[in-house]
Amino acid sequence: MLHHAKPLARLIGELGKLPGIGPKSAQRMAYHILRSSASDVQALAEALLEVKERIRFCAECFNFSEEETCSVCRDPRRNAHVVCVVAEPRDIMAIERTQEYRGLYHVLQGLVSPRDGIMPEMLRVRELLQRIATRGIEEVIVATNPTVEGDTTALYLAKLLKPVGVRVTLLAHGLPVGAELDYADPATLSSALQYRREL
Amino acid sequence: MLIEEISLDRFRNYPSLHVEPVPGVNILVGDNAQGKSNLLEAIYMLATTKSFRTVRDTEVIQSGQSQSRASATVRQSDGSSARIALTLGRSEQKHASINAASTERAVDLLGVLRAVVFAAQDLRLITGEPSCRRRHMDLALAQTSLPYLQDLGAYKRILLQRNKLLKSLRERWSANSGLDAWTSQLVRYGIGLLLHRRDFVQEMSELAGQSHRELSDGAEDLSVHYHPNPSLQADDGPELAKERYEEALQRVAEEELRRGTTLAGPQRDDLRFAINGLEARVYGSQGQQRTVVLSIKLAELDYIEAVSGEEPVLLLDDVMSDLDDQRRRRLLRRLSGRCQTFITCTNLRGFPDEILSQAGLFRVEAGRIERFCL
Repeated sequence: MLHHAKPLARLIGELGKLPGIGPKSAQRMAYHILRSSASDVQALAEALLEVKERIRFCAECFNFSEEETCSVCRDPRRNAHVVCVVAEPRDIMAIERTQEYRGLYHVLQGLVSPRDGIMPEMLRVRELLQRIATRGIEEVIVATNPTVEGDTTALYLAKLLKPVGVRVTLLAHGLPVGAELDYADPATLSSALQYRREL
Repeated sequence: MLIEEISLDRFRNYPSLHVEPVPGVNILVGDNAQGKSNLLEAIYMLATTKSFRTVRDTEVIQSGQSQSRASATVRQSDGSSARIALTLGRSEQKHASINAASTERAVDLLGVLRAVVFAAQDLRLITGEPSCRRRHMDLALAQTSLPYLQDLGAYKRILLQRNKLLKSLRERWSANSGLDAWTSQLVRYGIGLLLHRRDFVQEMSELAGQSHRELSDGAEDLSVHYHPNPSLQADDGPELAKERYEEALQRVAEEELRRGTTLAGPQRDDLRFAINGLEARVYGSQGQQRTVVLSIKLAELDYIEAVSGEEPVLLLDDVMSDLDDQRRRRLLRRLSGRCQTFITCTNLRGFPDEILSQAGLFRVEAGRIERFCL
């Protein structure tokens, strides 16, 4: 059986570690890189190193940031009394796309999941409590995924934050805009019914 | 509902297979280990995405193959028809499609085809572990109630997470572990299961009682009793059920930490069957127990039909030889003209002529199926 030349095999091995990339895709990407110009490959390699060197966690909200604190936390036009709690930095991008929300964020960096060994103390919960105690925060919006782990994390936070005297709200679960009722699954529909509003 | 045709690809001992069953009774005849039950298994998997013979669904994949596929065209009583397919891979992943459009999850298949199976090993329903009886409730309810299926999926996941947490707390205690939140979640989904199961068993008891009276010629009275954990009253609503479940968890809280596992909830439910007031498991003869299982299965058929408005497909896997002549005849009489039925057997002895003259007869031999006439 023919084997890849060593440097090529190494590249395929490294690419195969990326999420969602199987051996076939890794091989295709490696071939593509081999065929690309030296300057393109240089740019890719530099980008990889640069992101690792320059990006760190925001000291306030634990979003990715180039500076000590991120651009959201530094923005004086943001409402600093409201904090939206999310699991991952990518959730911030999703909420920012709505262009509705003008408050700050707090990234937990995960959801509770004993199966994966993730306990509350491994999330950025202590830091959230600290922010609430010192930064004059009045409302915490919990925006975790509507999954078993997301809902449990939200419940955990609610129990922890209520005694602190801050308002705690949870994102509403309901029907996707533009979708047909007929296609909604019963759990989504029953949640939409439960949280219906006055017209 | 009717299966108009069914195709298998690399499924158990069938490299490929295409069968067009008749609307009424289909009899699959053949020696042991020729593949009769495999076809029934495929039908049941298309209905529930699960095998009735094994908990490891990948067993259906032929050795040396990477996947198996089953597909069927199902016609509903309103005349509409759908083509459904289920593909199973080695790593337990399942893909389903309805009318060539692939669905997001395999469970989206549930409800297109509904089936009730009665196999020789179903005597476990009476004599086996409580888990056999819970599985029976789950499979019947999952086919008729999407909210139940969703609650069940969430509950199982929460239970797994909570058990892992209790185990790790046993090794290393932490006051801030999130256990309260997992407990609230357990209760929230658990009461859905409890109330659904209670109402289901209540109806089943009635329906099974009717079937059993017919099958025993009025001699025996069958009743089915639900033993929920935590115990419930017949008219408890969600609020009271929640209270009872919370109380039960409170009582075992210390023990749970010592043992590292969840000790209250519907994962410990059970069912009891009583013939003339005596428990069938303890006092029933084997013949009586078989008839009880048959009554339960017929009740399941009636239940699914009542709830969904469609007669499910009935699968009788190698059970005819275990029934005496009289019961076999009563059963066939009850079934004739009703739902589409698939029966496996090693010979045609004991089938009345009026059944044989109208049935679809299929000979099964070494992974091949051929229709024949008498």
